[in-house]
This record gives sequence, C-alpha cells and structure tokens, in this order.
Amino acid sequence: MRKLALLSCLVLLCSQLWAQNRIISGKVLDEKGNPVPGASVQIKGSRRGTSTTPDGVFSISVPASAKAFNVSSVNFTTQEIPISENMTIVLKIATNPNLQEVVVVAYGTQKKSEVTSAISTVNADAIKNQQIVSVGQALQGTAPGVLVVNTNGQPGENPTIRIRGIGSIGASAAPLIVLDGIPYDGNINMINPQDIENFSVLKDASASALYGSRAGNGVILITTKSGRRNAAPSINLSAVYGISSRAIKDYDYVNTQQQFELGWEALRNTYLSSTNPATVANAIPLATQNLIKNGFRYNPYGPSFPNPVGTDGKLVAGAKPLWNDDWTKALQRSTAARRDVNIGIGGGTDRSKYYFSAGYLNQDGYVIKSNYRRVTATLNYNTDLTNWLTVGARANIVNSKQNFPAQGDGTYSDVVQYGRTMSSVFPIYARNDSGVIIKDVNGKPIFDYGKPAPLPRTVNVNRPVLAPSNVVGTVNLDNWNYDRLLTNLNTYGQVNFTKNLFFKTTFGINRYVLDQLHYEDKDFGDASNLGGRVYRQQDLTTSWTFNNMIGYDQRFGDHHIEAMASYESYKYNLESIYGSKTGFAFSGQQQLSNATTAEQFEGYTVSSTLVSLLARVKYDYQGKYFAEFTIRRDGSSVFAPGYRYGTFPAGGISWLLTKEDFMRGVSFVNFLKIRASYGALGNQALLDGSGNASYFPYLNTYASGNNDITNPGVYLNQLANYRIKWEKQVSTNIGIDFELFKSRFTGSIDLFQKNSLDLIQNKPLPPSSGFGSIITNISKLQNKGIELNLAYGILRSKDFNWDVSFNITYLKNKIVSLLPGTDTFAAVGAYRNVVGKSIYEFYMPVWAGVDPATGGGQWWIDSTDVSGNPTGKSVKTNSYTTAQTKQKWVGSGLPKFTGGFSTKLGYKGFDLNVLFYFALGAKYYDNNYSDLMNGTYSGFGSQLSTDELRRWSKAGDITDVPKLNSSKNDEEQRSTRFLYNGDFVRLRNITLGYTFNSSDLTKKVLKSVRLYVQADNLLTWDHLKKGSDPESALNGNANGNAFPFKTLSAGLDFNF
Amino acid sequence: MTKIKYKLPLFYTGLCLLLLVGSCKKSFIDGIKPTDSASPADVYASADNVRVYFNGIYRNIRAQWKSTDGTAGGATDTWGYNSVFMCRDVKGIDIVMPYNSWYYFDYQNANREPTYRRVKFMWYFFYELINQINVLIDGTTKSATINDGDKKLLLAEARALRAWFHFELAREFSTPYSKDPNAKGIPVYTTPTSDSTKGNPRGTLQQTFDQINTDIEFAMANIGSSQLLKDQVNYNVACGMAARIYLEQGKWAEAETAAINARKDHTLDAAGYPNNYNGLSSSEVLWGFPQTTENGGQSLYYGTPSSFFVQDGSGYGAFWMSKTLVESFSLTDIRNTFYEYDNDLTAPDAYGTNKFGTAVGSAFDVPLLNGDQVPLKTIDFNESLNMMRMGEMYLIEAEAKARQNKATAADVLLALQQNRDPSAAPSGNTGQALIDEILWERRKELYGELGIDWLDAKRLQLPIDRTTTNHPVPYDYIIPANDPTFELKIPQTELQANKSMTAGDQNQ
Repeated sequence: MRKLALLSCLVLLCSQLWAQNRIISGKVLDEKGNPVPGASVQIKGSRRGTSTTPDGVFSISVPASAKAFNVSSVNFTTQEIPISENMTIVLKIATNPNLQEVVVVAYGTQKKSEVTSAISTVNADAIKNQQIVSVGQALQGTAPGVLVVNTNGQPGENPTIRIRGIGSIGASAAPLIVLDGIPYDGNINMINPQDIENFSVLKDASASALYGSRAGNGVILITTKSGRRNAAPSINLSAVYGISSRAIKDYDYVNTQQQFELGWEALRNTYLSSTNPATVANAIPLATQNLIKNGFRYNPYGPSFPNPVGTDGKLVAGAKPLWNDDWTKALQRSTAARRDVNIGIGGGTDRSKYYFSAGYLNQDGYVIKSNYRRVTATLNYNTDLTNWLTVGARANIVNSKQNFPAQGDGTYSDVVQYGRTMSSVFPIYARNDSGVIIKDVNGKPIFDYGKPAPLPRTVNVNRPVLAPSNVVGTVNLDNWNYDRLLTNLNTYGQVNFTKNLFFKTTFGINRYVLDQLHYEDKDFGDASNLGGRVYRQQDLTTSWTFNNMIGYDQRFGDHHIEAMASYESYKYNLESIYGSKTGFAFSGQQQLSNATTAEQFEGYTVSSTLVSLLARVKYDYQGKYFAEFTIRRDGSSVFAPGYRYGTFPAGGISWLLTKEDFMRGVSFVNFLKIRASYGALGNQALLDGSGNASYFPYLNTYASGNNDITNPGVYLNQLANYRIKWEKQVSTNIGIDFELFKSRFTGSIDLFQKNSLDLIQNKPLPPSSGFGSIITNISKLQNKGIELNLAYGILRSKDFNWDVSFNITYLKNKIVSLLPGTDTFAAVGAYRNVVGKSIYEFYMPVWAGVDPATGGGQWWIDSTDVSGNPTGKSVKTNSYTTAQTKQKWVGSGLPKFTGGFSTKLGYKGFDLNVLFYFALGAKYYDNNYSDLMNGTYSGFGSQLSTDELRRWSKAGDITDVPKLNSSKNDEEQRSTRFLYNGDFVRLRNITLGYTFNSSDLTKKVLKSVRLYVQADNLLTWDHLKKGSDPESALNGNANGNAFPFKTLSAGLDFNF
Repeated sequence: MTKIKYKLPLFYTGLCLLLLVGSCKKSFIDGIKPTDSASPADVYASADNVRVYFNGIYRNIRAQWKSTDGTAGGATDTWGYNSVFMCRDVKGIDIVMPYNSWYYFDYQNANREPTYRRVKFMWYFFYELINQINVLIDGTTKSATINDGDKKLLLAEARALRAWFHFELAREFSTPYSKDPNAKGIPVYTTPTSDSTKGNPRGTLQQTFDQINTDIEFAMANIGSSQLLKDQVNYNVACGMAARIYLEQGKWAEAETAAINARKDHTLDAAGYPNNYNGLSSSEVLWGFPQTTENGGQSLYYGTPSSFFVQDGSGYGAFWMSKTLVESFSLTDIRNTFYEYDNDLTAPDAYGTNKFGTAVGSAFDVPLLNGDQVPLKTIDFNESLNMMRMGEMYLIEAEAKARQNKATAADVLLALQQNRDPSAAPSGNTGQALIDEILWERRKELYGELGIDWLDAKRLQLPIDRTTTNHPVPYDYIIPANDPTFELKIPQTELQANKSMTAGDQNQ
C-alpha cells in the first residue's frame, strides 16, 4: 500500500508542473519549402498537442517546463524540435516510412521494427478496394499464409479461413477472431468492412501464444477505426452501387431433342440387356413405343407425336416442342444489385479522440430471393479523464437480414441444384394431355408439381425427376430468413502510475441474437401435406472477457525492458429455443401463432468458461537485438477435472542487422532483420461427430427429448472419454524482413513448421459396439511452408506512382501419425487419412476410359501375379467393384501454392488498382459435373451435359463417354474421370478512380471527392469444365452452393 | 488536488479486490454442467427412471433414426425400423418398382456392398440399440435402489429386445439357419461398450441363436403383461418374437406354443384390415409403432409406407403391386383393396393398393377391383407401423402344426382365411401343398408390412422368382435359392475396427 501511495504522489507531482503556460506558434514545411498540412505537433513527454492547418501553421499553449515538440506526419520522419518562439520546422521525408508503422499485436501494439514474430497486416486500403460482404474475403490474396476460400455465393456467407494450413482434423481448424482486443463470438459477417482500420494475422507461436488454448489455428486481430487526437472532424461519406451476377457461366446442357434421342438410346440399351429374349429381339420398336410411358412420361411434342423418336433413334420429322422452359433462368435474377452507403466521422481534441460510423449494405445474390442487408453503427471514444487515467469505450450495434433460399443441401427445395437437375423436357406450368397450359379459376397458370394423377391422365403427369416439387413455384412462397442482431461493448480504463508502469482493466461483452424463420408453404411443396410449416429458432449468445493487466516499460541505458502480466476470465453462454408448428389457415401467414399443430418446442443452454494467466517480457539492446517471451496458462470447463489446465509458452528473437556497423557501408540495404520464434499453442474447439461444438466430451450423457409420444425419454448419445485434453501445436518460424534501394523494394520471407500433436479425432470403434467412434487425442499433423512477400515501387514521381506487390505461400500438409491401425478407416468421402499424406488426399479408382468393345467404363488397377505379389504393371478392369478395392492416391485437394499479385498505379488524380489471387497444385473433384454425366441413370429428363452427345453407341466407337445406361451407373461413381487440375487465377478486383482535390472544389467545405468504378471477380482462368467454380470448397470437392458472384460497381467518396 | 490523494489508494485497493474475486471463484469452471441431459445416477435411481430410458430407446427404435455420431441412417430409405421392412419388401416379389426412387437400389437386390448406406444402416442401427440395452441392463443390475422384483421385470423386457435385435441382424448378415447352423453368425454383445471395446467375433450361427434363445426364454418367463404404448414389449410380444425365432430355427413345437401364447387376450380383427390397423388400437395388433408429428415431430414424414404406396401424388408413389399376388385375392376378401392404375394390365404399374395411408383428406375416389368406389388414400405422416399382428400368429401356428403333420393345421389356416373372407372354403390341401398355401397366405396377409416374401424365401431357401409377374426390364429375373444377395456384406468399417474379425469374415 505504501508503494501505491508513493506512486500516486509521483503522479501528483507531475500534474503540479503544468502551472504556467505560454503560447507558441509556428509553421511546418517540407524540404522543398511547401507547407505540410495536418502534421502533428506534440509536446514531448505529454499527450498534449495540436495539428497544422492546410497552410502548415500551428499554435499551441505550452507549459513553461516544456522543452521540445515531437513533430510528425505521414511519410515524414518524426523529429524532436526544441521549443522556441515563432518556429519554422522543416520535416524530412522519411527514408523508410514503413518502420514507423505500428503493428497491432496480441494485447498491445509494437513498432514494426521491433516485432520478433510472424504477423501479416492488411490495412483499410486493401479492404476499401473490394466490394465484399464478409470481412474475411479481404484477406484473400493480400495476406501471405492465409488461405481464404469463398465456398458459397450466398451473400452474407463467410469464407473458410485457414492460417498456415489445416491444423486440426477432428476439432475446429478455424482461427480465433479478436475484435478490438476481445474474442469475437458473433458471426463475422456482422462486421462492416468499412469500419476496419487493419487486420493483423498472427501466424506463429510467438505472435499468438498469448491467446493460449484458442490460438492453435492462428489469430486474426481486427482493429476498427478510431479518431485522431488534435484533429479537426473529418467526415467521409461514400456510396457504391453495383450489379452482381454469377462469376462463372453455367454448364452446357443438352436440349429437348437431344434429351429424347439420348433417352431413346438408353431405353434401347436397357431392353438389350434384358434376360428375356423377346425383349432383346424387340428392343428397338419397344424403345420407340415406350419412351414416353416408361421414360419421360412428359411429351413436349404433343399428341400429334405420341412416339416422338422413331425406330432410327432420331426425332420424327416435323416434331416441334410445345414448350422449352429454362429452369435455371427461372431460378436466377437477371440483375442482382449491390448498394453500400457509409459515413464515418472522426477527430479529436488534445485529450480525447472519437470516431462514429454508420453503414448500410444491401446485396442481392444471383439466386432468386437471395439477399443480405446490414445496418451498422459504431461509436468509439477515448479520453484522458486526468493525466493518469484514460478510459475508452467502443459500442457497436449491427442488424442484418439474410434471405437464404436452400442450396447445396440436395433437398427438393435446393434452388441451385434444382436448375442443374430439371431439363427443358419438363414444363414449369402444368400442361394437359395436349400440352396446353392448365389455368386456375382466376385464369392464372398453375405450376406443375409433377405429381401422379388418377386415370385417365397418362401423359404430362408423374414426372420422373424431382416429383412432387416445383421450386420455381415454391421459392417465392417459402421463406428462409436469418435475422441477426449483434451488440458489443468494449470498455477499458488505464491508470498510469508512473511513466513506466500502468494498470489496464478491460471488459468486453458480445450479445448476439440469431433469429431464424423458415416457412414452407401450406399449399405447395414439402409441407403441403401438413398444411404448411413454420420453424423458428432463436439463439442468444452472450460472451464476455474481463482482463486486468499490469504493464511496465523501462529503459536502462542501452537496455529496454517491456513487461506485462494479466489475469483474464472468459465466459461463453448460448441459449437456444426452437420450435415448429404446422397447419396454416391462410396463405401468407408465417408465424407460429398462425399455425395449429405444434411439432416441436425445444430449448437448452450451454456454457463454457476459461480462466487464464498470461505474461509477456520483451527486451532489446540498443534497438538492435530483440527478445520476447510470452506465456499463458489456461483453465477450461470443456475438459474433465484433472485435465483442465494447460500452459502455452513461446519465445522469439530478432536481430536488426542494419543497425550494425558492418552494414553501414552497404548503402542499398536500408533495413534488414532476421527473426526466429518457437512456441506451443493449444486448441480447445472440440467438435462432435456432426461438426457441432462439443462442450462435455468427458461425460456419458443421457440426452433429454427422446420422448415416446408423451412419455418422457432419455437416450445415451455420447460415449465419454474422461482423458480428453487439449490439442497442441508446436510452431517454429524463421523470417527475414528487408528494405532495399531507398526502401523502394521491400519484402519478407518466412519459413515455418507447425506440428500439431494430440489431435482430437473420433477414434473408430467397431460399429457393432454401438458407437461408431470415441473422441480421442490421436493423431499428429504437420504443416510446413514458405511465405514470400515482395513489394516494389517502380515509379515515384510527383504525378506518377506505380507500385506492385506479390505474395506467395507454399504449404505442405502431412499426417505424421495416427493411432496404430487407424490409418485405413479414417476414410472420409473421397479422402483417406494415412500417415505421410495430406488430410485432403483424394483416394479413388483411376479411370481408364471407355472400353471400345462394350461401351462400359474401365479403371486402372495394379496387377498381381498368381501368388498375389504386385507385378509393377497396371492393367485395366471393367469392374468398378474391383477398382474400388484397388483405389489410389491421386493428389490433394489442398493447393500447394496460393498467393496474390497486385498493382497500384497513380497518375495525378487517377488511381488504378488490380488484385489477382491464385491457387496452384490442388486437385478438384467435380461432383456437379459427374451428376450431369449420369447416362440417364438419374431418371429420364434429368439434365445432361452436352458431353453426353459423345457417348459410346456401337462397338468400335472410341470415346471417353460411356454407353447410356439407365440401370447402372458405375461410370458416374467416384473416380479420376471427374478429377481435374484445380489450378486457377482469379482477377479478384480492378478499380479505377479519380480524385478531385480541394483545389478543384469549393475549398472550405469539401476536401476531396473520389469517383471510381470497379469490378470484382471479373475473370477466372482454370482447367475445369465450363460451369465449375474452382473455389468451391477448402478440400477441393465441388459443392452445390451458389457460386461466387462478380460485381460491377461505381462509387463516390466525399471527404469533408 | 487533495481529493485525489485519498481516491487513488482506494481505487487501487478496489482493483486488487476485483482481481482476488475473479481468481477465487472455483465454480467459475467447475460449475459448468450440461443442461439438456441426465446423468447415470439419475437414470438408475428408480424403476420409474429406468422406464424413462426405455421410453427413449423405444422412441429411437420407431422414429427417424441417425447414429449417435451421424455416420449412418438419416436418409429417407435408412430412416429407422420401417426402412428395415421396406427394403425387405422391395427385395422380394410382391412389390414392383417401375421407376427410380428411394429403395430402387434395394429393389435391384444390389444394395449390399460393405460401404453402402443400406449395409451400414442395418448394422449400426441394431448394434446401437443392442448397446443401449446392455447399458440399461448393466445400470439396472448394479442399481442399489431398485428392488429385485422391479429389476426382474425391467431385465426381462430388455433381454427380449436384445434377443430380437440379434435375431434381426442374423437374418440380414448370415446365411439361413436352416442351411447351416455352423455357418458364420454375427457378433454377440451382452456387456456395455467402453473406450476399450475391441469388438466381438462372428462365431457360429448356432452360438448367435444360443444367446437369442437364452434371452427370449428369460424374457417369456419373467416379463410383465402391461404396455404403456403398443411399442412396449410385454408377454405377448415376447412370445410372438419367440414364435418367429423358433420358426427360423425349425423348432416347430416351440414355435406353435409361442404363437398360441402370443395371442392371449387378443382377437382377429377383419374390419380393421382395410385401414391397416392405423392407430394400433385394434386388438389385432400385438406390437406396433405409433407415430405423431406432434411432441417433437415423432414421425417418419415422407418415410412412411403410405408415402411409397399411395398413388395420389402426395408422396413418392414408387411402389406398385405384383399382378400375381393381386389376382390371387378373391373379390370377397376384405384384404382385396387393389385398383387398376394402368390401362395396360401387364405393365409394372398395373395395380396399386389402397391398404396404406388415410382416407382423411383424400381428393379422389377410386374403383377397387371388387367394385367398391372408395376414397383413394393419401399420405399419412402419422401412419402407425405394425410390428406384429394376430394374423401372423395364426399363420405361424398353422405352419408349425403343418410341419409337425398335425391335422389341425388346416383348421388354423381356415380360421384366419374365413375371418378375412367369409366365403372362404377349405382347400383340402395337405402336406407340402398345405405348407405352400400357408406361405402364400402369409404374403397375402402381410405384404408391405414386414418384407414377408423375402424373409420366407431366405428362411426356407427358396428362389426369388420375378419372371411370372409384372416386374420391369431388367429386374424381371430369378435370384436362385441361397444366392449371396440374400446376405448383406459386413460393413467395411466393422472389418477394419473389429480386432476379432479378419477379411475372411466377410460374406461372399
């Protein structure tokens, strides 16, 4: 207590020195004598200061004791100038402005030159130049080591983000998101990209170990904008309007005539394979006779052509389709709009700074009804209450609404796959036997649900594809909405005991409400037999973090020590209530109260907690040698008592070579630093077998809600593993940062290796045990790679500036060990986990083309001699079942190389930005295309690719497309037939802008106006079938989601 | 200025306290517990509580099912117990599938490879339930608070189910018992699974049946007679199970007795047949699964039989009837609920059945073959499933007696026939002809409910002959007796994870 009193006396002493003041004024000029506007003039040793006017002039009241100003401005070296009357200060252009940059690190900030770890930063400019919805998308191609995959073109969906590879198999591999210092538990689509000042991606152990058991997969620190001290209010108003459409064109489908001719051939082939000789003998006339009745059941050629395909397999002359409906077109928007309006106001006085922003985004998806709207408002305020106490708060409220028509789930209401399945053979509106549209009593056409009808109707009913359904009809009646509300409040107070010692307390709370409403229409669609259904779910997530920190910073001659110790507690709480009811009286009503019968009404609460102690010590000698050590000890409620605590230490060193005497002579090297780090991290984000967060893996749980009619019931749903513990990541990083040729050429190289140990996986049990698996710490993974980041200022002149930058990451993911004997059965879909291969290593039969004799598929297998030993040769087999027993590793779904290339050109008022993203070395399995090569197996009239026109049709045909066959589809099964080289380059963004400066405009009010046009996802180069999107999934397996969209937009930025 | 002097120390003291409070609350971590489940201590505290676990097990037997780790079940054709029956039904002769739909692969008798959904579902489903039962048996046996009388009742019920689930597995994954009792059986489990479970061996079919017999005999001797719902196994149900189990083993005398005991306090109900005893209230039904869309959506929805049998467009409408079976019903038979669907009476979709679904909400009328104009049934999401009916018990008794050459066999058959069709006359058949008549009667009585024609073909080593009726090309074939397609293969995952199995344990 005595010490504390002493400390406070010190503070008091300081404050008493501000007794007498004088007014000092002056002017700040650059080396050419031009005034520098907006330069910061700060009294040394205090926070008090001012900034210069547009004429470079300043005036400030200073205490008698003040000796000097710190004068700084963007692109100039900060200088310390002794105070005198009527000063003229000349600022020098900074030789290496980047080094003055401050980087946001775990629990604080550091100068870029002092950093010992691997951190990628992405600033507001990179975000501004992209028309994104979810902030994660801004990291694609801009941050080396960060893999961003846009797996869904539904606006508002988040990309999959992985930092330095895939660090986990059975637990979550997603990075921790920290927003302004507080772990973020909302949906990241709720963060307005326009509010972001910068991203810091913490990639190695030294950078992220302070986040301990949550840092195993890397950490993304998001810092939002704040005002500036001593700055007049700056108002930025921006508005963008854009048009979006799918970035990739659709597959090519066969037309109605081709459908019929191919269908005829398939039916003939089926009859030819009959065991009944009479059927075989009459295969051709039977195919013609039965094509409608046993095949399509719809006849678009009308009653005049009851057998539209003749015995020659060709459409009968004169037959014209009565309808030719394009389902895909009917399920997509012709114009999807993007509207984005933002306002930001920032500024500050000598004691405080503030930032206020508000934004509105409205983005349509190209899929019908798909839409995302978001309103955000933020207030960020920091102030020095006294000269020893600073407080600050950031409050943020966001509301978003997302219309999300079903996609990628393979249900009958899947809007994306529906168009990929329904061909033009089938009409959108119901047709009678003569092909005339059937109308309701009001004269409106009725949608065709493809239902069977009682006799005597035999044609244009009972559709063989996706019956009963009509998504064109129901998508407008159904509703699938996500309404989200996020409020978060981050507050802190900091007490500076002395210049060197501070105490900071931080409390941040997120409250996130997800409200889902899913309505299925009462008259049409899946729930029509129930009179409609509404499903409603409300999830309330509350999470808070309370941190108390003591910090210390002291120089002793050449030695500089910075230390921090902190105690933190975190609580996560999810309350979920959901229910559904059926039976609506009126169409149009969609609320629970409107319906009659309660199907379900459930609710539960889950919580998890974490307590932590953390500390950091940083030391440097002469600003030349740096060392940093961090440690965190976490205790988590997710594990059993006895397994709850884990310790995660890390250390890093760096050496600033350019400060050494021997480097003085090497004039072209402006900056050169070597870094190395090593440390341990953890991962506690456990998942259950269904991929949901698991909070009690150590308990046998008898789940409630398994009621039998009205009798209450429980059911054992989890086999506990009491010994489950953290996943661990041990990470090593070596890096070099350099700046050459007057800092025009800058870059960094990082080598990293991340070993993941004790990875949680579901250890398979014999299924006869009643549980397929038990959660266990089994496997080891390794991710290693190289990151290279280069930037070059090609031209720097008064009017013309040209910069290019390039980054590339090489990554190798490898399973190091699995529990003995488990290697063979970790097969997941197209993948198989074995030691030595990546976790997304494709494993499948190898396609060997079509047998010219039979038209069936062939697959390569390793041949064996009579005693079963491999002969080293490959032979072809006609049996898919045989090929399945001899599958092969055929490449990984993970790209080997990813990166970005960007260029920035400025000429007078013009600016041009271009960003490319590329991913190389991955394989891509195209499920969507294989579905279109089903050879009529999926039903007559199901969409077929135009490639089916090349099918084998008679002995001797040399082709790569097998015989049509409606009863067997081995050739459509998984094999390398549908595996492609996944390399691609995407032009992520191109922006052309022109800025009108204040001289062009009315001076006082408007500072500048920028007008720009831009295109996002304009072009893609790949090796895939037309219609496939190479970015479909992290693992290289195509999915059925909407594809990314391209957006052409124009915008205006006003600065007041 | 002087004010600050006092405030600061106070402020610091406050912060120190705050730190202390934060770190001292041990319950901050240890107090976190699940809110949506019960602990073993709760479950085995009393007989009533064990009943709650039983309820949960019955619910998972009858409703939409997905394995606890989400790796099996969950599709419309692997949606719980009804999928077991429906896939057997389409593998046989009496149900015709002209078009691709759910179960089409089963209809082709091709859905049996070790990685297929059908195979995994059948194996995972029954073995998950076996483990749940073993967990219940273990917990109940060890409970210190349940009295011995209650324990016996609970254990008898549990062991009946354990016998039944092993029996179902043996019927799917082994060759018929009648062919070779020393052929490979299925792994038998009688203790709960733990993290050290290595897997049990296949053993012989005889060993499998020894355990089944022991369990079902214990059950018949100790089980109670009450039923909370028709899905609960009581004395009658246990006897009915035993009747089927004995029939499979050719234990005719035991089968006869068990079938007779199963019928205790129940009567045949012809009037209920046209509605397939929907709702289970009929005395005809010994064991059945209720369904409701209420109280948590405890329904099969589009997975119900009516979704596949009704032809009014409200469901999948994928199943039609075999012409030969339809034509064997007399017009006065209450079970003759068939109608012509196609003008071409040789077509695969020539005949539909109006047995399944509900007339409530029907939009069309349909003329049945017997001339009645009735509402064409529509899909019923709450359609109950019959697991065991009186009709079958009569037919088991008849068959068992006929196999023992008992003269009363024909009388038992006739009793059922006349209940269903008042004008039925004795056929006068004896010997094998009588047995054939009984087997045919089983198909007429039970089609679409249990997969009876496929089960009987397998049990009695008969072929599946589809050539004599209206199956579509190319599935109008003959599967020879004892063909390997009668057995599902052992799931790949089992062969790989089970330490007691080798590649040689796979079926042909």
